[in-house]
Amino acid sequence: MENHPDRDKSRVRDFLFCEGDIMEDRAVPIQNILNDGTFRFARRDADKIARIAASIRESGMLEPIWVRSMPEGLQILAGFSRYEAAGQAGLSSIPVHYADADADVFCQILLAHRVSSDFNVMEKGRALRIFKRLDPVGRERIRCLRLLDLPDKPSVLNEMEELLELDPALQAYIESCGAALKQASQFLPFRTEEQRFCAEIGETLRIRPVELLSVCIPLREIARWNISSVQETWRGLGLPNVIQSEAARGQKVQEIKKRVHERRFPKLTGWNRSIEEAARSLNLPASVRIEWDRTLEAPGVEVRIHADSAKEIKHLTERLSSGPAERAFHRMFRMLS
Amino acid sequence: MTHSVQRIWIDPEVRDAPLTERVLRNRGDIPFDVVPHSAVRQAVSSLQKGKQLLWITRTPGGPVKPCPATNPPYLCCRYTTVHAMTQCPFDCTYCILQDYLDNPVITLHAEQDLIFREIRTLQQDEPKRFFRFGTGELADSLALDDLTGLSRDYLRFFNTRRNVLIEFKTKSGRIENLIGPDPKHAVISWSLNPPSIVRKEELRTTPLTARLDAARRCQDTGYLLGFHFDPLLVFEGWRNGYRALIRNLFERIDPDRIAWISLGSLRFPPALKDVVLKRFPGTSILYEEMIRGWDGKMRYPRPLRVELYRALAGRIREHAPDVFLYFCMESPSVWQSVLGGAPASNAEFDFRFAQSIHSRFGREVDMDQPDASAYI
Repeated sequence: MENHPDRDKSRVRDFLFCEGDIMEDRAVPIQNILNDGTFRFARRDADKIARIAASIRESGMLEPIWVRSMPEGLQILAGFSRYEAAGQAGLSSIPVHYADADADVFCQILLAHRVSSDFNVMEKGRALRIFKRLDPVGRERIRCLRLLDLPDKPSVLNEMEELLELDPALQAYIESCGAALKQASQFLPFRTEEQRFCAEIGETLRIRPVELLSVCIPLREIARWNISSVQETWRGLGLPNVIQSEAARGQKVQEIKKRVHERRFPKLTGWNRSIEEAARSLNLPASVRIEWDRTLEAPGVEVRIHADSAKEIKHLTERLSSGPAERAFHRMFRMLS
Repeated sequence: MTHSVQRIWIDPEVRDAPLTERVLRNRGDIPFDVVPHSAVRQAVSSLQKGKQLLWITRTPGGPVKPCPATNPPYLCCRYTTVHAMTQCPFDCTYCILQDYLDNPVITLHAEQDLIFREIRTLQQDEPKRFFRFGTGELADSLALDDLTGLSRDYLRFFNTRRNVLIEFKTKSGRIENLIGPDPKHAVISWSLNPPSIVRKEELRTTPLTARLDAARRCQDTGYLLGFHFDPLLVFEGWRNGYRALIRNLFERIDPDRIAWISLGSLRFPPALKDVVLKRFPGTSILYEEMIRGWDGKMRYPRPLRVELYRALAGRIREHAPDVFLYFCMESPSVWQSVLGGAPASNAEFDFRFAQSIHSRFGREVDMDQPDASAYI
């Protein structure tokens, strides 16, 4: 009975309904319930379902699922995980609570969900879409937005719903990583097959959306520029070999980023290489470091000297102002000034 | 010339404002409705729809402000923007307003007295400073002038004032209202790009030739002119494209009637990129190499910007050695690399601007000798 997942929701329900509102909960044969996801907004979580099933086996099903009567059977409004768990636990009948499918009831369902877990961005999008179907006029709109922690900003809400058009594999990746809207929406300009490919890279490399975007956005830009696809560009850069190499995951990610960056920014890479070569030609000891802004936005270089004595400083500054060094610096400044 | 406005909505609070009355007189067969403020935002969420709608409403607080510009070390000229309208019927792929403005609807602020009062106050607060005002920062100054007639109101207001210029910045050729009034305190300016860019990236705007023809008519009417090569874009053949554009400009326009020319390369906040990709998936302007500048905006790497500016500045200087040529939102190092020197601060930039106008057009625009102490 410890930490029974139904318990929090039960308390919320008790709070939400005054006594007179509650219709009698009834046990109904499980086969009378439609396996239909019309009102499903929460992510399917297999582990959670298994936990609930175990709990049901031990203590029975305490909390009814919410349903509405339809000609074909009972349509689930809330309790999809519990319904599935009941099936796994081998129940032949389960308790149901009858409710209408309206905006008010849906807001109560959202509130109950909020108590036990946060909404991820896809869940918010799905909830919003269901809500709009139930309340086309928007009478309970603000209440719904508050429950979902969403601003009343059309651009944000539209974007949220657009995420539902992403490829299902990418949606699953976004949900599993808990990506924010700001990150998730950056996948929208990708073509559907590219979205699937992005999800595959994300899963294979086990990287977070921010990191995945730092690879996939430049890949897409290279692809668009060359009238090609992200997948072709990926292959063209020899990245499948990097994935299959024996290197550690972190090294693979670094190598992929490096190759993509160099292809996306050939001029910048070239300019930086020229500066690097000029700096190398100075043949300076390790105690002298030459640094510069790799975006080249800042003019000039920073020369750092680590010295233990005045004599050493004198020696190094003489070296830095010698004829060959001056020529090398000139080459550097051609790029940097 | 047609424009995209297909409907006019009027805030009940400004239903009887003189500007509203004028728009209704000029609207032709464009339908109008009186619609409460709260309904507008909810009804229109997309830019595509917003650009078809003209919403006439109250003037918000602070309609006259220093140009939002950008953060140091990039230098800005201390321009003063007048928010007579916000949003634009044109649809440039690179337009920053797509991301900058919350409201997608073209909004006309009907309470002009408020705007004029603020301008007066600003001048009273700094009586020795020469002000450049402009209505083309958050809108195109003339694109809807056939409907609004704003240009004549501003010409009339500024005509009686000293130490001030009003700039109408546009990509249109809608200058009918400018022919007739005294052109004394106005600069009419155009944003310019090669015809291929106008066609591909500056959608619904007036073609380059028609812009230059309009500029020529304004010049002949006695106006001072301004030109903004902004945003400069890197594209295949950009060098030849801009060379031809500059040749074209100076074949028609007398350099001695040009008050200023600005150069500014493409720059935008990172968030704009997604908006552009979504609205204009076919555009190629985002695929050139860009870095995130010190102000957080995306821009071409400095060596590329310097190359662009040098190519243009050299050509412009050949035709117009005396014109005030400046950069919009550029770093001192770029100024130094291209023009051989940079203003030490935005205030000095503003002062140099005033000095140039005074030395070339001081008498024409009723301007006092700029006093450095009023600026720096």
